[in-house]
Amino acid sequence: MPEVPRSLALLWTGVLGGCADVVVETDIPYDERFAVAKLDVYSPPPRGAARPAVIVIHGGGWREDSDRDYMELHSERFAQAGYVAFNIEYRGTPGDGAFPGAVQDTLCALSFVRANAARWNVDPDRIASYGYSAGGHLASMLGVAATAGVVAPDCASGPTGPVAAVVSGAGPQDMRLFPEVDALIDFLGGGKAEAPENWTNASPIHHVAPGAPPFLFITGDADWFVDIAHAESMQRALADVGTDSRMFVIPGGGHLFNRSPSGQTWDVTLSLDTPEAWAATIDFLDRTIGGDL
Amino acid sequence: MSDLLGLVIAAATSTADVSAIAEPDYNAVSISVPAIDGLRGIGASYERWFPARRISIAAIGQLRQTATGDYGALSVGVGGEARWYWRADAWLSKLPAGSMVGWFLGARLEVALGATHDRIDDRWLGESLDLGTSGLIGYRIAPWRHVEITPSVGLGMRRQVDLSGRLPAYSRGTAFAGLSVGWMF
Repeated sequence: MPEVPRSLALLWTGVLGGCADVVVETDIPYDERFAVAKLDVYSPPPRGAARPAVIVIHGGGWREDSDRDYMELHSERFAQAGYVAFNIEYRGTPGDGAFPGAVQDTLCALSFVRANAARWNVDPDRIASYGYSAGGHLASMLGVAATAGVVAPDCASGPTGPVAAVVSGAGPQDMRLFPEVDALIDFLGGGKAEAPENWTNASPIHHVAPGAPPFLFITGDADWFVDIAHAESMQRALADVGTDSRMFVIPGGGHLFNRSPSGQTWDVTLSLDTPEAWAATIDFLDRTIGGDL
Repeated sequence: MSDLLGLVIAAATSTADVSAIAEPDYNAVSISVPAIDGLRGIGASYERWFPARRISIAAIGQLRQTATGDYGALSVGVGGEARWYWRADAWLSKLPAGSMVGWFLGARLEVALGATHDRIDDRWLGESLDLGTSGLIGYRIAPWRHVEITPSVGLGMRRQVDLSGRLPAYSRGTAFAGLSVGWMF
């Protein structure tokens, strides 16, 4: 019987085949004080050794009308690749999600996951954060601001240390680079003159210090919402303290629009979702927290 | 006066007759604006018109750099598209009725093969296939000579297949907008 080339077999199963056995648990509260403070867990098939994990954080301008549904497919794909994925919700604006609320929630989610690591067979030292846009900002804060007093959480699971790696897709890194638009004013509690300390303290770049975890930045160079300057300045700041980081830039890529496979259209697609960005992401996670999965 | 009126009517009728019997353009070559946006790629299509059924068939090709920075990536895409121009006439069009202009409904199949490289460690991260199926609606105008401009919008499904086998296949829906500019002949 002739041997089927491996790539052809993968293509066949990839195009038509189903997926691995991922177990999904939904609406698990990580902070009982807030109704929205819940997460969904996507677990790969069980095994003996503890697995690495990814905290998945949705975007949407820190608004309370955005939610984690958009990251379901990302979470499922991470689980299929061997990572336990925690797709988290957090408080938004207008409301008590304004800084530091949303940051505290993501820290509480991380702390909760670590406190319950055995429940999902997670290695608490191999947890990465992954997010897009506002979620990319919060993912970065989990990397560099976990121990900053200004965002210290007061949830039951208590404070925790930084994640071991960060994937920030089009994430704001320096709030001071933005104009005073409504989303920023709502999140930061005022304009630059009214709340200057929040515009600084909410900026991941302000918290960069030696020992920061490795970062992967994914961004389009035609992103009109979150300019590539955010990632570039953060990468320089990380280099200054000796932290390894990588920059994945999509030529002509926007915040919400990227090319279709044949280039005929602008698709509503996050920069994180191109096949090349996925290849860079999984390689980065495998190298930083993957271990033997 | 009546002679002059008769001359005008004759001239108008003559023009209309010429328009009615003029042959439509059977071919179009178009450049995709999304493909060249960012100046890191090129995408083009060839479209053939079958006026009896008011249907066209197009072949599509694209070459694009899909990553820079600490990574490099290149993607080669091909596709096919069928369109039905149900009126085959358009506002602002200088081409005769029966040309492939105006409102159309379309269906597209496309696939791209991409490869990603880690420049810092000089490693290839693998190849991927990006497949797409789409339904679209658009409106083509030919406002000057045989130049055509075609905006479109639609909905589609995308499926990624990692040929290295590290990642499982991944499907998602999408909405999209397109714009092409070309020459009909």
